[in-house]
Amino acid sequence: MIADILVAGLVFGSLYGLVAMGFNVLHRPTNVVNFAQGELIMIGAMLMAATPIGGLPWGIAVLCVMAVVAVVTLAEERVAVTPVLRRSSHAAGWVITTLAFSLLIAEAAGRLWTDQPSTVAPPWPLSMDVNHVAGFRFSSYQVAVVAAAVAVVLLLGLLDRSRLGTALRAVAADRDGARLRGIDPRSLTRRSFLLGGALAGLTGVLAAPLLLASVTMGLGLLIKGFAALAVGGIGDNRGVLVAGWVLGTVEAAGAAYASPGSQSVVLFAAMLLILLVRPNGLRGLAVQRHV
Amino acid sequence: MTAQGEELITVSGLSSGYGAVPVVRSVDLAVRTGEVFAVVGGNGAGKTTLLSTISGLLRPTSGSVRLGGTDITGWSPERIVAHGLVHIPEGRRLFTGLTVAEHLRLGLWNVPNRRRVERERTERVVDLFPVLGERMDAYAEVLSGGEQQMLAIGQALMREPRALLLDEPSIGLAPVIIKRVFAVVDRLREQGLTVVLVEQRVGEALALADRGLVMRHGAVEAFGDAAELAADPALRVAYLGAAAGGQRNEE
Amino acid sequence: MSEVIRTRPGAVRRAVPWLVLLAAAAVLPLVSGDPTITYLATTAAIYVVVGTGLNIMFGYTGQVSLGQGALVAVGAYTTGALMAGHGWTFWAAAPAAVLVTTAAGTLMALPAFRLSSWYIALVTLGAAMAVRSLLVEFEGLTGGWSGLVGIPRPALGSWELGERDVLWLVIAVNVVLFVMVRNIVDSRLGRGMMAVRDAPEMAQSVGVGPARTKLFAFACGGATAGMGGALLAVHHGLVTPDDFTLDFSILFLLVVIIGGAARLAGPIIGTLLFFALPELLTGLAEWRGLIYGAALLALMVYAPQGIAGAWDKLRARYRKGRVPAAASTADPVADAAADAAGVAGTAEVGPPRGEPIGVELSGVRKSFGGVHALRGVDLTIEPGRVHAIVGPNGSGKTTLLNVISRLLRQDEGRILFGAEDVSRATAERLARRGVARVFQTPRLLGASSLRDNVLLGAYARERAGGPATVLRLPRARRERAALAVEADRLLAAHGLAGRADEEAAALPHGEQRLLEVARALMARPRLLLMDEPAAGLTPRELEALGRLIRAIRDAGTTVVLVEHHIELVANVADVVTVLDRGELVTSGAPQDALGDARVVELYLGAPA
Repeated sequence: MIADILVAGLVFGSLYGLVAMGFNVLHRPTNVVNFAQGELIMIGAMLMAATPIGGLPWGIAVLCVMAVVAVVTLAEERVAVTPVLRRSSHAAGWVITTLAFSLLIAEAAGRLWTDQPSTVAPPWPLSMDVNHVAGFRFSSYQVAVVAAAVAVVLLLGLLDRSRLGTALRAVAADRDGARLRGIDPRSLTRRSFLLGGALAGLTGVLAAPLLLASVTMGLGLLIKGFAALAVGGIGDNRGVLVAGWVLGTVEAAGAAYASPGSQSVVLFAAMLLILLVRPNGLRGLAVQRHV
Repeated sequence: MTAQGEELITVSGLSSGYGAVPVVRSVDLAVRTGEVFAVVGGNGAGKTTLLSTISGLLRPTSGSVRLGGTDITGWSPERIVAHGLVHIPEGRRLFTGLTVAEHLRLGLWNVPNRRRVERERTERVVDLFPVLGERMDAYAEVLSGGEQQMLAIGQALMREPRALLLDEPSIGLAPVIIKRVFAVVDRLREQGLTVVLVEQRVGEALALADRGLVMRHGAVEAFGDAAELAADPALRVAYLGAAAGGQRNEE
Repeated sequence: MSEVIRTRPGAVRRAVPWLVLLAAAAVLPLVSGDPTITYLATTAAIYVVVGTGLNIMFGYTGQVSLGQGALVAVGAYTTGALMAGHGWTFWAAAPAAVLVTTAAGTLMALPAFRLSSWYIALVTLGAAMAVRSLLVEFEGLTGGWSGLVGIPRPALGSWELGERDVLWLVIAVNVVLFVMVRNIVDSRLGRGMMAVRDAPEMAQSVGVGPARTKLFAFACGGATAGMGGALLAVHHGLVTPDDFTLDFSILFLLVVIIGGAARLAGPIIGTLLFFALPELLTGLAEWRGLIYGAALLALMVYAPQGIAGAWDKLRARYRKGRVPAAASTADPVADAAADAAGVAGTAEVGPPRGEPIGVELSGVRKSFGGVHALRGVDLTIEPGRVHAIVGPNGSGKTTLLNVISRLLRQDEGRILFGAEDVSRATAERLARRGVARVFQTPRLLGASSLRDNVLLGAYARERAGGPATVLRLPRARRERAALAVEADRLLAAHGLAGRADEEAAALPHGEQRLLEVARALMARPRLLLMDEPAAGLTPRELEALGRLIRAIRDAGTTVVLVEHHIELVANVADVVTVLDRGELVTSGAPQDALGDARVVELYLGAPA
C-alpha cells in the first residue's frame, strides 16, 4: 500500500508542481498569481479530449494546444492583468480580475463542451498498463509524466540563466531599475504570459490521461497547484515540484487511510500546517529585496 | 554624433514632480559633449527628480529635453537608454540575486550585435575596474558599496553610451572610495564620455566638473563655470540656508 | 441617532431613501400575490445579510474571501441539523449556527496573519472546497449528497411563521445588522479597519493592531454568514451540497464589488442588480455566469468603487459645479499653519496624555541585505525637547526613526523609553503608550473625511469597548461626540475649518501634510516623531511649521525631527544629532553641531 501511495503521490504531485511552475512563470514579471491558471489547464485537456486537435499526431497536437492556450493567456494579460496593474487603485484588484477571467473561461467551456468527463489515451508507445517492479505498480505513462515535470524544471532553470531570464529576474527585483537598463517590462510580461500559457496547455495535455478531462477539472488543479506553490515557495521551481510530490503523497495517503472523499481536506490541512510553521515555504527563500 | 564641445543634452523650461507636488520648476540647462557637468544643491532641492525626468522615469509637466538634436521629451526610459543616455540611479539599484557577470550582460540588453561585442566590452570594463573581474560570479548584494558603484558604472559602459547621468555616486561610501569613484569619472571624461554628475559632496564635485549648476527649491540658483560656482555665496545658501550661510560669512 | 449626527443637517434627508426602500421591501408580499416574488425577495434579503458581512471583510478591511459561500453552508447545515435532527427551535439553533460559523471564519483567518493578503483569497478558496467535500463525506451528520430535509420554519410557541413572516424576519435582521455595521464603520473600529486596508504602517503607528483588526473583520464575516445560513435553511426547508458551489461564494464578492465596496449601500444595490434582476428576467438567468465574469472584470478596471462609488462621485461633481470654490485665499496652507502655530494647535486639544517620553538608544544596528543602515548608534533623546536628526541622504535618518517607532526591528541594540525597555515592543503598543508619527509622504484614509482622518489619531486613547461601540451605548455616544468636537477644533486650528466632511484624497499636498499633523496631535502624544515635514513647503509655510513645532514642545511633548532642511532645524531644534553612513557624527546644540568642522565637510565636501 505504501508503494502505491508513493507512486500516486509522485505522479499527481508532478502535476501539481507543473501547475505551480505555471504560476511562477507569470508571477515573475508581474507579481500576479493567476487565478485562471486552473481553467487554462482545463482548456488544454479539453482541446485534447473534445476537439479535432486530439486526433492529430500527438506531437503536433501538443504544439497546437500549447499555442492556443498561450494565445488565451496573452488575451488574459491584455484584458485582466495589465489594465489593473496600471491603474492599481485596489491592491488586490488582480485577484478579482484573474478570477473573473477564469469564470469567463469556465462559462464559455461549459457552453462549448459537455460536462461529461471523457478519457484520453496516452500517446503511443506509452500506456496506462500496469508494470510490476520491486513491489511498485506503475504505468509507462506515469513515469513519463514525472519525467516531463523534471524536464520542465530543468528547462525553466536554463531559461533563468539565459539573457531573457536574467532580464526577467531584474524586472522582478526592481521594475524601474530594469527600465533604466533599457529593459521593457511590458514586453517581458507578454512573453512570460505566452510561455506560462504554453506551459498550462502542456500541463493540461499531460493531465488528461491521468484525470478524466472535464470542464470542471480546473478548480481542483488551481487549488492544489497553489498549495504546491505556497509550500514550495514562490519563484522556486525545484521547490514547488518537491512540494507537489510531498502534497501528492499526503493526499494519496489521506485517500488510502481516511477515505477517498477526504483527500482534498487532508491536502489542504497539510498545507495550512506547513505554512503556519514556515510561512515562506519549505525551503524558506525570503522575499527578494532591493540591493 | 556631436563634436566635442557642442551641446549634447539640452533641457529647457523643464518642470516636473510627483502627483500635484511640483519639485522641479522650469529648469534650463545645456550639457556639452565631453564635459563633466555637476548638479549640486541641498537635500530635497530637486536634483534627483531632475535626473529622473531627463531619463524618462518621470513625465515632465512642461518643458522639453533634447539629446543631440533629437527631442526625447516624454519618451520611455527604455527608449532613452537605447538612444545612448544612461541614468545610474541614486543608491545604484543593482539587482538582488544577479551576479556581476549577469549585470554586465544585462548592460547589453537590446544592443545590436551584442554577441559580437560582449567579450571585448566586458574586457574593457574589467580593465577599468579590475575588482569586477575578480568577482564575476559574486552576487551584487554581497559587494561592498564601492564595488557596487563600480559595477553600476561598468554596466552602463557596456552599452557605450553617449552620456551618463550619475546620481549621488558617493552615497554611503567612505571618503577614500569616493575619491576613487571621482577619479573614474575623470578618466571617463578623458575617454570622451559626457557625464552629468549629481552630488551632495559639492566641494569634490565642483573641483572635478567643468561646469555646473546649483539648485535650490527645485529651481536653478546659479549656473556656470564650476570653479566660479565653488566660490559663489549662493552655494552656501543652498546648503546651509540663508541664516547659516550668513553666519558662516561673518566668521 | 447620536448627538453629533443630529447636529448635522441632512441626516434626516439622508435616511429617507433607506426608509423608502425598507417600506417597499416590507409591503412587497402584501401587494404582490405571487409567492415566487416573496420567495425571491427573501432569498435576496438573505444575500444582503451575507454581503454586508463580506463588505466588512473585503470592502472595509481589504481581505478578499472566496469562502463566504462555504461559511453560509456551515451556518445552514448547523441550523438544519439542530432543527431537523435534534428538534431545536430556530431561536436556539440560529445563535448556535452564528457561533459555529464565527469560529470557522476566524479559523480561516489564522493564516492571514503570517501570509501576504492575496494568500487569503486562495486559502479561503481551498477552505471552501474542503468544506464542500466534508459536507459529502460526513454523511451521518449532513445527509451526504441528498442533504438535510424537513427543516421546519421558525415558530413562536405553536404559531409557525409563514413565507411572508420569514421575509419580514429577514428584513428585521437586515435593519439591525445595517445599524450595527453603520456604528462599526463610523467608529474607531471602522477607521482602524480602513487604516489596515489603506496604510498598514500608519495603522500601527496610531495604535491599530493589524492582526486583531483582521481577526475582528473575519469574525464579523463569519457571524453574518452564519446568520445568513440559518435564515437560508429555514427559508428553503432543506439544504444540499449543490446549494453551495464556488459560484455561490463568488456571487457575494460580486454583489459587494458591483454595489460598491466599503459603502453601506453596496451589498443592497449589488444584490438587487445581480441577483434579483436576472432572476426576474428569466432570459438573463441563463447567462448569469458570463455576466458575472464580464461585470467583475469591467468593474474592477473601470469602476473599482462600484455603483455606489460612481454615484457619490457624480453627486460630488454636481455639487462642485454649483458651489464655486469658496475658500481660495492666497495661501491657505501658510495661513493655516500660521493659525496652528498660534499655539492653538496644541492648546485646543488639551495637554499630552502624560509626561514627555525620553528615549535612549544603545548599540542599535540595522542592515538591509549587505547595506548597513545603522552601525551601532548610541543616542539619548531628552524628554520635552525638540531633537533634530540630520545627515546626508543614505545616512540612516529614516531608518533610525522607524526603529524608534518600531516599524522596523533592529538587528542589535536596546531602546529604552525612560526606564522601560521597548526593544521588542510593537509599533501599535508604543502608540498606545503615547507615541505619534508624521510620515514623510502623507498616509491618509483617502476615501474618508478629514474629520475621520483626525479621529483615527485618537484610536489609542478611545475608551469605549467593542459592544458599546457596536450598539452605540450612551457611554460610546458621549465619547464619540466629545472627540468629534475635539477633531473639528483641531481641523479649525490647522485652517481646515468647515471642511471636515470633505474627502482627504481631494486635498492638495500641503494640506494633506497638515492633516497628518492634526491626526498626530489628536493622539495627544507624549513623543512625536516627524519625518521630513518640511519637504516641498514654501519659505512662508516653513516658518509656520517652525512655530508649530515649538508650540508642540512647549505643550509638553518630546519631538524627534528627521529633517534635511538645515534652516528649519537651526530655528527649532534644542539638540541636533548628525548621522553619516549609519554612524553618529556629533550631537549637541544646533550652533555647535552644525558648525562642527566634520559636519561642514559632510555637507560641503572636503576643502578642495
